[in-house]
Amino acid sequence: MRDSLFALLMLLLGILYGMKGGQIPGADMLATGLLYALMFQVGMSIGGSENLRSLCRTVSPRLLLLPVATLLATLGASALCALVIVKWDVWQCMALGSGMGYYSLSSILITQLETPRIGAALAAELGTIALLANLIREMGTLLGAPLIARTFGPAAPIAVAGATSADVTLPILLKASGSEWVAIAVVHGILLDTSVVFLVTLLLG
Amino acid sequence: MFTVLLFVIAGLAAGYALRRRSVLRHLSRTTSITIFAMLFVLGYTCGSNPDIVSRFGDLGLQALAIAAAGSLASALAAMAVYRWGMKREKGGSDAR
Repeated sequence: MRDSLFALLMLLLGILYGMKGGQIPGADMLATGLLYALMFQVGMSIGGSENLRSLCRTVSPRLLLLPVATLLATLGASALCALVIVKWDVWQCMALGSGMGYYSLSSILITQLETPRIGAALAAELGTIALLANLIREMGTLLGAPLIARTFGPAAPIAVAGATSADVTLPILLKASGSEWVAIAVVHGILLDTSVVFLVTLLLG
Repeated sequence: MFTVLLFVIAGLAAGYALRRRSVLRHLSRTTSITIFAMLFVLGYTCGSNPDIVSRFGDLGLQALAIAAAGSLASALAAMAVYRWGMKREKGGSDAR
């Protein structure tokens, strides 16, 4: 929660700095360099993760049901949004949703990947929507988990949490759904978290 | 796209090679700092563009639509999976 608020604060500070006419020399190059550094670190955390390796050894098809359902439902619903938000095409809408709560990575990736194709301004716009959409999804989980569990059953808060179900939202999820869901929530979160970087890249590639 | 994946794969290899080293413990901190720096630059790109600034409300609505659609669809899918897939096995263990 603290990290989410700080992320939002950094975005707001950046916006204010830009609005006040502040300058960042070589902002494009800086953003690209930071993206590569981030991607390297994301790779490192996946490669060095004990969780993921032990997960690969123990994962059963049943545990995959929920993450696959979350992924397909999110992509399907996001694709339908292209009918309402006519400005963006189906792939861009799917990329907007595909962060599944992982707001920072997906927004930055979308901005960088789309800049050469649609220009820096539109790409920044798309990245901002991605950031807000995924932030709203995470906040929605944090605030609404008990209600979601009562309405849609105990698996639903985990699905809504998306990529965050293994870390940020895990404590809230266990409270809402019951502690017996811990393994499913962690597997769900790790798999979706890992998939975000590949998913966004493939959707916009 | 290819370059991005290349950096992920290079990181994967480095992370695997360093998996027993303490250097990985600092990774979440440095990752957060990188992300915060990037968000500041993203904010700056938006803020320095008056066209985007004037339509912030519109961007928020689009974000809300994407978030609501994805969340609702995920909740419904989870409900279906729970009813037809997980509950049966859970029910079996409850009966014991």
